[in-house]
Amino acid sequence: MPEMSTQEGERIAIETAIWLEALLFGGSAEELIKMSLTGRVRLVGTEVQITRLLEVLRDRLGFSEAALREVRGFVEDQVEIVTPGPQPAAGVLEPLPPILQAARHGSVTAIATTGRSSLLSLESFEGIPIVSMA
Amino acid sequence: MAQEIKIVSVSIPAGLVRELDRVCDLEHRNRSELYREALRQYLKLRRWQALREYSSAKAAAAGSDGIDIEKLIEELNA
Repeated sequence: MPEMSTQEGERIAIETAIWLEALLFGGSAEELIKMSLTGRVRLVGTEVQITRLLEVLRDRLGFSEAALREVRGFVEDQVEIVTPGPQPAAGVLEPLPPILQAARHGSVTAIATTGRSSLLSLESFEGIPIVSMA
Repeated sequence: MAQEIKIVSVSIPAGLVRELDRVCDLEHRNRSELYREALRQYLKLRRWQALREYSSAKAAAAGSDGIDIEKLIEELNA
């Protein structure tokens, strides 16, 4: 399983779960967030991912509205939000997961996931390596 | 629109100034740019640490309530 090693200025699409893992447990997920604080890497994501993260924090973990506003503000400061292109019509093709949409439209050089992500079995997407923050 | 700039005076140990000046030379930046960048990073890190503390407390409470956090992470991965 490939693990994360970043280069200066790298653009990285990150899985929503990395934010949750970083917030709750720290570890290597937090290290990636801290690298974005110092400008060593640029994080890329979609609005759908932020919304999903905030839903889990509010509905499952009981974050206050003030805390949710703070999380949103922080994430928006750290993540370059990309707008995915049109999705395939229902029944034609499965829509891409948000992280892969971010990767496709965000000119990224890597896709970072948690160690348990099912995406790791792909190894890469459209030539972009999928790496684990485990 | 140009940002309002305030000039402030702060005292910094001479050794630290020398170290920062070396970084200025290495990165071809002036003192003001470097100090602004250092302050921005400090404020971001402080903001992150506050979020971490709040989130860790919430995770501990959720764990006490029987919520499986690992499963939550897996759900977000799905």
